Amino acid sequence: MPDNTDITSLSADHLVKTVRSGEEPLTILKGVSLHIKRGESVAIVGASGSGKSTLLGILAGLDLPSEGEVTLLEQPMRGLDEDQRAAIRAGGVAFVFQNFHLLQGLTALENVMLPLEIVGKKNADKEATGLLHSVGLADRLAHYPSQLSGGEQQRVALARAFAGQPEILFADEPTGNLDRATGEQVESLLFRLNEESSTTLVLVTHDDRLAQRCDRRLKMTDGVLEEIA
Amino acid sequence: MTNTAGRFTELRLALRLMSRELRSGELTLIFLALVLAVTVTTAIAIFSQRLDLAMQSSANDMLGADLRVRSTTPLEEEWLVEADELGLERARTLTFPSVVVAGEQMTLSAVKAVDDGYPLRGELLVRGIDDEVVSLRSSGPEPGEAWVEARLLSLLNIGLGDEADLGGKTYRITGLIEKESDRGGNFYTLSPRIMVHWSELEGSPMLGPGSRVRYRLMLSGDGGLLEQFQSSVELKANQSFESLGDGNRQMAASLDRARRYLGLAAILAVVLSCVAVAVSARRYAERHFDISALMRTFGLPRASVLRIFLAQLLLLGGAATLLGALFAYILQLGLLQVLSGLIPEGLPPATPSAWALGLSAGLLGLFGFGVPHLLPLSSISPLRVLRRDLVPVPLKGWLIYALALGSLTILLSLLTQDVMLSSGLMIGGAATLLILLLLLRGGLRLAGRLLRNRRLPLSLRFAWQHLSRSHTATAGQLLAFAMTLMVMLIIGMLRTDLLADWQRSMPDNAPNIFALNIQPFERDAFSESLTNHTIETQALYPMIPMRLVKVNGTAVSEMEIAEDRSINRDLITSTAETLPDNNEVVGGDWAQTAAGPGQVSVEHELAERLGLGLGDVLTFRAAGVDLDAEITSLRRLDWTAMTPNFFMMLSPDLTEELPMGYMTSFHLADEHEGALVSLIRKYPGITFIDTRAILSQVQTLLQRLTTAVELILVFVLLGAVLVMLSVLLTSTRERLTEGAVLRTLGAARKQLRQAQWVEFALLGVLSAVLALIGAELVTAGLYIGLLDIPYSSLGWAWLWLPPATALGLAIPGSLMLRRVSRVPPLTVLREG
Repeated sequence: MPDNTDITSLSADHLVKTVRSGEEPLTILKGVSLHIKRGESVAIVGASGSGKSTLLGILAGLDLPSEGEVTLLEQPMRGLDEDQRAAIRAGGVAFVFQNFHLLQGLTALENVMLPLEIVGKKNADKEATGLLHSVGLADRLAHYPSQLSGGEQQRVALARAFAGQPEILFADEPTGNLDRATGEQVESLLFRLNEESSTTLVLVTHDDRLAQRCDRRLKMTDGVLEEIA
Repeated sequence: MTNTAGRFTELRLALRLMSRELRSGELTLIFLALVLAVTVTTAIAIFSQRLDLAMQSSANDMLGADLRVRSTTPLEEEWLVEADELGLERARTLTFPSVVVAGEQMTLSAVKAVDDGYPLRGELLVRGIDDEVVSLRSSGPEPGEAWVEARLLSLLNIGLGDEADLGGKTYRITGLIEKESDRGGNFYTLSPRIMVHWSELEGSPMLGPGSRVRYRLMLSGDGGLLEQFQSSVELKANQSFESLGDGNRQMAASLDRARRYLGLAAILAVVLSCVAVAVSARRYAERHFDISALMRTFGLPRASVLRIFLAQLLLLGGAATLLGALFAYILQLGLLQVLSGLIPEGLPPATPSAWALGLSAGLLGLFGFGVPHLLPLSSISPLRVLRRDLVPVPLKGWLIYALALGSLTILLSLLTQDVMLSSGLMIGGAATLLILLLLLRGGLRLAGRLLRNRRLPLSLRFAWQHLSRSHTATAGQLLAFAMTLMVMLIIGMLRTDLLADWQRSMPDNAPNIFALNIQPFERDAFSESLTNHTIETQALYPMIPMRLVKVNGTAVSEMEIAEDRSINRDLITSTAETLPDNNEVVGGDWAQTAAGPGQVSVEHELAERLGLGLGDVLTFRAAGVDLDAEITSLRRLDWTAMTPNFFMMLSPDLTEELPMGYMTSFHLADEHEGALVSLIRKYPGITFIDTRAILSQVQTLLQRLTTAVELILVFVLLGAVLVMLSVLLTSTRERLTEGAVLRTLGAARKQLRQAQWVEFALLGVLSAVLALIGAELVTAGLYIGLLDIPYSSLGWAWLWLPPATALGLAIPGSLMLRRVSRVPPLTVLREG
């Protein structure tokens, strides 16, 4: 495997996010900068309401900052409209969410196939089946989300996230809705897949133990981000 | 990803998402609503077009000729000579109502005698004794034979090949008329046809002055020659040319009216279906905000997301349209069946344009009502995957309403083919509904205030709470149900009451048989025969057809009254020494009129309409002679009394020299039926008109027209049920949570179901009561103000309609909500 660690996967400079809340403008991000190299795993921790999720949304191109610049997969986001940003996501960005966000109407297999189909991949079903095997759900292919436990649902979500062989994976409290034991299983799976595909991982979490497994830890306090040892 | 591959992927995604969603409710409701809208509009569109085509394309057929001359007196010999000289093809017909008898059975029929030239144009299809159907040209029934409509055989209880008597002659029935395109439409089309040879009736005593006979000379040939014919013959006052369009104008007008009512009812059903589509589509969109946001995070462009959901709607619309088309075909067959006998048979098939118009209802409904609610799905922020509170900006309210009203107006104007009427109806209808809606909403608010802090039983409290959650939605549903039920009640009531009240108002021994065209020579014998049969009779009155040609020396054709319906047609006048029964003198002196000479008594309403008064001098033309008469009395008539009534009664001196028949009316008890048969046999020249038969024909006519409208109203009710279900669906989530919480607090399933039933029962009872009140008010207004018949309450409907409506709503409603009481509460609470 070539050494990619010098290439910057994601960078943000002087991000400010201000929203109007009632009469007063509210500044959620106050000049946040960070640079993440390819293959790195970074945890963003912080108290509720500190601005973690807002930052994640902006880094992933789901939202735009009021000020500052984000470069995702070597492409500056400034001036891109929603569809242009979507095209960048389609190329190499994946997500894992706290509440899984599986489509209730689709089976586990169909859920995993979805991102592959969106980019027009052939053999989507084969690839998706393989991924579900690798997360230990070989016998759950035809199950609907409502027929799966929380842990199983999050494993499907992980398989879906890795389906497009993303370059960067954003995870928002990936174990937040799971009990401790299940959470640990999902966590291990996440890091195993991450290592196997050398994906860059940006995760937001409350969970110190999860944060500890990452290469770097950043703490968000009241809109300001700082690196912690 | 290539464009085609992309589209294919989108379609596959759309299908995959849809296949599971079909069970979710919104798509099912949208589907059903679209099927309903398409069914109703298509059925009405093709039904109307088939009627139109029959009217237009066969207008020529219906005339049965290129030109017709109509006369109430025998056809002039010189016309025939002229037509032959010009080389025109010609045929003669004469028609009049008379009674046909077979054994002890008799029936009023529409008699038609035709000569060897008949039929000239159009189509005459006859099934012979050999059971073969033949299309005939210039070949009517042979002398001694008769062709009849199948209805006549069943009324007389005889078959093909049997014999029947008409006007003292016996005919063998040798053909069944399956189609007679020039039959035209007037009151007697309700009586079955009997067709015989011209020579059988020419000069028959049945065709005397009072017989209501119509002679027609049918001509066909080159347009120039026909014009030449028209300019060379001179017509008398009782004769006229009939050309294209004249023949069936009256029938076309009444069918047009019926069609407009059907169209209106159809539009109501479409409006309700469209509302159901809008409510369901909105809820469907809201439930798919998350999926859309997720697909956007996967990198799917905005347009693709929109296409995926639009594709679902289009697929759904397509399937609904196909199914609707099938139902529409069946429904219009049903309409034709209900109206059979009132409309021409063998209508031409509808053209693709009518189908397209009807089927477009589905697409208009989708794009006007469904799509606007789906558009926000494409503008959803992908950030919603992190922040659930983000919802897309919906389309502007005015835009949604404008799209909805616009598409409805388009649909309505396509259906009625009248843009002004449609826009007017749309604006007027929307305004009226809005006012009623606001009133109802206010009523609900007020009720809510009154009920606040009252100790109601738990189930009633929950039911009321659900109903008052959205006053507008509840008021809308109440309005939809109440209006539809009200219209149905009013129609049902008018149908039975109009004739029933009239029949009730008549004394038991009121005359029910009119005898017309009694010749002077048989007058005394006929009176004697009636006495022999112990039939009490009114006096015999002379009948003299006359035309009013001048008033005070000025020709009526030059006066304003020229267009009045009593001008340019024969008025049956009479003469009498004593004032007839049920006549009341309201001006002048009857004794003076009766004494004469040269005087006339006029019915007072007609006098008012024509601006006539005592002292005016009227000039009548009868049998080519002009007679002057001064008005010396005015009379009020009781038209419901079923006794001979005359607009004009002349002093006897004026009519002495004129040819005349006599008429009378008498009461025939059911047990004397045999007496009538023997009278008909004994006096073949006399025309007997059995008003019981006419009443039952009118009854049939009313029954059929109202049944057709009610058939469509059933679809309106279905539309209202769909609206109720779609509104219910939007509150399912809340109801599930509420049910789960209640059950964790110890409520039993039974209690939850009870509350649901109470809710729908309340909605049903309220709608029914509103409908009953509305119907009572409208019918009271109609009966007392307009129809002048005694008002009677809806009576039993007050007892059965509320529970029936409650049940009708509770069954589909509680089926829809059965999940609320069935799903384990923990599942609901976990789903959050």
